[in-house]
Parts: sequence; structure tokens; C-alpha cells
Amino acid sequence: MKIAKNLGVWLIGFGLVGGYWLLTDGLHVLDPFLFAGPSRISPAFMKSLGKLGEGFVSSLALLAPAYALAVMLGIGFGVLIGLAAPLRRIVTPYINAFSAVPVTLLTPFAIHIFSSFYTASVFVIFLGAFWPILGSTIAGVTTIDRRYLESAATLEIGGVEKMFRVVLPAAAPTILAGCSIALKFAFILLTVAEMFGTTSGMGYFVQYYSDFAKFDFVIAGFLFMAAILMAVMALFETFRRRMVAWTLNG
Amino acid sequence: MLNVAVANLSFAYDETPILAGVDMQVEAGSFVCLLGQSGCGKSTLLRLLAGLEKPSAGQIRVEGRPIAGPGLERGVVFQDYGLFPWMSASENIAIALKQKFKTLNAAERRALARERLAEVELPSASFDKFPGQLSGGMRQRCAIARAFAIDPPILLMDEPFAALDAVTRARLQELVIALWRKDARRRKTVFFVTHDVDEALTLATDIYVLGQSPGRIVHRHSFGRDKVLGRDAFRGDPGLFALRSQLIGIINEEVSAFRILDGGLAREAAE
Ligand SMILES: Nc1ncnc2c1ncn2[C@@H]1O[C@H](COP(=O)(O)OP(=O)(O)O)[C@@H](O)[C@H]1O
Ligand SMILES: [Mg+2]
Repeated sequence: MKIAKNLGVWLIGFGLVGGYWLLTDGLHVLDPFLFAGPSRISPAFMKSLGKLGEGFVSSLALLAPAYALAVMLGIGFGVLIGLAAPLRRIVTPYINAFSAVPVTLLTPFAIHIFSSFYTASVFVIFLGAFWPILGSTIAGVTTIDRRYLESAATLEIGGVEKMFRVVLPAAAPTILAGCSIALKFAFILLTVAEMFGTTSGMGYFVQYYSDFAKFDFVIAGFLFMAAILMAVMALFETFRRRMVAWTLNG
Repeated sequence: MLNVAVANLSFAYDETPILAGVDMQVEAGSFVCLLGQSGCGKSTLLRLLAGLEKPSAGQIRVEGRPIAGPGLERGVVFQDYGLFPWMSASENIAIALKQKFKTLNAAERRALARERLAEVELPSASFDKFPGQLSGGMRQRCAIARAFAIDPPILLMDEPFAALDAVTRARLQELVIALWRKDARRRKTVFFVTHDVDEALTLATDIYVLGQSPGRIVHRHSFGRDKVLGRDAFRGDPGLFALRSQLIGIINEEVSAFRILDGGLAREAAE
């Protein structure tokens, strides 16, 4: 079963690479200036591997604190707002308004407010990840089956115990779905954040070569980022499955 | 082992009266069955007893004290959704033990939880399974184990066996009776909701029949202290067959005074 599943992944991968090769190197259908074929991407990739490795480390220094902060504050405020109906009524319009502001639009403001480019970059990624986590946590908490909360009440389970043993587990499937979306957002925003915040990183790499129109390197960078994202998401998925094993959804 | 007095209890959802003027004087250690058709307000009455709803009028007193919200003094077994699906069977018991017995450490709670599950004859292979991985009967065994683990003087059960097959139901009825009987001096006061006349006759020391729209007590039957409970109830008292017909008659009379309307009940216009 596992082999068959992974076989499908490999087949699609080979299909994509093969198809792209046909369109570029093979049949020269696409404009070679923008769409570098594998014959040019491969050497670019190999040549940049060291730089991309360094970039990965420096990107992680932005991503990890930003995402961790988004998870903590998103879930924290989400639970608070989800459990307190009066508070929810007051803040919901503002959450809707602010979460609709494109984070990229806020970068000049972030740079102005925060003392360093690094903090500003972290803030931009944080904000992009924060909204989906906050939203999904509020949704998860407000849709908890009332009967579980009543069960907790008859057992006099309250306070911290109720938070960690009843509310968070019950809302976990929805919260984790939000965290997964937020993780992808964080990767997208990496490119934006590294434009001004750093002189290294995966996003910086892509942006740098894009400015010089060296698209073989741009695509190599994208492929590297995609591989990292695939690995990170696989790791996240393993964690998620363990957390919500009780839903028996496999 | 506490007496419960329900006085002139009324309850409404929005403007719709659900219960009106319910009176009950329940002696400590009674096994009360609340009997009535689906939708007559049995669950609502139980939720009021649990403290999960506030009455719109009247009062519920335990040993003279009005109840203030839900609490460990009144254990509850729901038809389903009582157990936390994200905890294993034994964790479900352990968290209840933690609430009740503050001095136990985690290892003691775990050990005691397994003891309680063994007591209700849950197979030990199921102790670490999630409720979703258990059969309906096993889930209810676990729910009963949890309710008895915190040893509440009052036990509230809302059609706990309604979704089970006849054989499993009979076995769990025996289990509840055995657990209830175990400590005669500290016998729990039980409120057991059912729509099944035979179940009520099998389990109850006292039967209250609820009528429809709004729910109210239309009949009460109290058996003596020496009523035979469980499987042998009918053998112990041949008069039970006559009572059975009488109760079915009362419930049918209540039902025929109404017609089904959009899944709810409405009083006949002719009346
Ligand atoms: N949350 C609710 N809001 C409005 N009406 C309700 C609610 N819960 C139950 N009811 C109504 O109250 C009546 C009694 O319900 P219930 O106590 O569940 O009956 P029973 O347990 O006897 O089947 C029913 O007519 C039902 O439609
Ligand atoms: Mg009911």
C-alpha cells in the first residue's frame, strides 16, 4: 500500500519533469529565455547548492520564530475570542478588515516601525501566518460540540485543564488545518520578507537572480524551495495525524 | 444517597413551554425511571437535574439545598457523546478521577482507571483504545465506569442503552443494577430516563410517567423496598404484567391526544 502510494508520487514527478523537458529542451515549444530547460537548470542547481543550503539556514532563522509566534498568538487569541461570545462580536469586524490587508502592502510600515530589517521581516511572515491560524482557531473553538463542554462541566473540569484537555483537542482538527495553510503562506512570504530584510536566504536567492533575469537560477531556487516545502509539509502532516488520530480519519 | 425534591418545575425554550409544574419527591437511594414518549421533555428534565439548564420557574433541591449548576455530586451518563473521543477509555476515567480525588498521583489514577474498567468487564485490550474504536456497548460500559468511578451520590442517566441491541442492553441493565446495589448503605439516588416501559419495570424502584406538551408528571408508581430488580423482575412480581399494560395505556393516551406535526407534536384542534 505504502509502495503503491509513493509510486504515484514518483510517477507524477517524472511526468512533470518529462513534460517540462519536452516543452523546453525536447521540442523547444516555450521561450527559452524565460523557461530554461533541464539542461540549463541542472548545472545551475548543482552550482548553487552550497548557496541554497546557506539560504535554507538563513531562511529558517526568519521562518521559525515568525511561525512559532504566529502559532502561539493565533491559537492563544483564537481560543480566547472563540470562548467569549461578547468579545467575539466586538472584534470580528476588525479581524475581517485587517486580515484582508495584503501583508506585502504593510512592508514599508513594518520597516518604519521595527528597529531592524530582520524584525520587520519576521513580522511580515508572522502576520501572514497569524490570520489563518487565528481564524481557524476561532472557527474550531466555536464549533466544538456543546455536549463535550457539558460533559466537562458535569465533571467540574475548568480552567487550564479544560483548555488543554477539552477545548484544544476538540478544536485541534480545525486548528491544525489552519496551521497547515499558514505554513504555506509563510513560505510564500519568505520571498517578500527577504527582499528587504536579508542578503541571503532561499527567497533572496530567487529574487536576486530574477532581477538579473537569470531564470535558470530562479527555477533552480524554486525547485529547491519546493523540495524543502514538501519535506516540511510531510513532517507537519505526520505531526498532525498523530494529534488527531482519534478522529480515525487516517 | 441524597434525597431530591423537584418543586413546581417549569422550563421553556424561547417561548415554547417544555416542562410545566413538575413535582417529584425522591427518597435517597431510589432508582427512579422517568418514562415517556420521545420529545416529551425527559432529557430536558434530566438536564435541569444536572444543572445544565436553569428552570424558568420552580426549584430542584438536594437535601434541601437548591442546586447551582453542574457538579461532581451529580454524575451524568448520556446516550452518547459523554466520553471525550480524543482520550482513550482509561484516560476518560483517569481525568474524572483527577477531578474527584485530588490527592491521587498520575500513576495511581491510571491504575485505578484500569481497575474501574475491569469492573465493568471492558476487555483489557480496549483500555487504550479511543471511544471511536469501541462498540456502542463498550462505550457505554466505559461511560458507566466513569460515572461510578467518581462515586456521585446522585446519578443521572439519559437513555444510556437506547442505541444498543437487546442482548447488550439486558447485560448492561444487569451491570448498572449490580453496581448500584453494591454498597447498600450508600446507595446512589438514580434518575434513569427511558422510553421503554419494560426497561423502566426492570430497573425502577419508582416510575414517573411524563405526559406531552408541556411535559408534566401524569402518573407515578412506587414499588416497595423489596422489589426484585433486573432480569427476574417479572418473575418476582406477576402483577408487573398488569402494571405494564396500564403504563402503556397511559402513554398511548398521552400520544393520541396529539398528532404528529412536522416531526413535533401538537394538541388536536378538536380537543
Ligand atoms: N435546544 C433546544 N431548543 C429548542 N427546543 C428544544 C431544544 N432541545 C429540545 N427541545 C424541544 O424540547 C422538547 C423536549 O425535548 P427532550 O427533552 O429532548 O425530549 P425527550 O428527551 O423526552 O425526547 C422537544 O419538543 C424538543 O423539540
Ligand atoms: Mg431525550
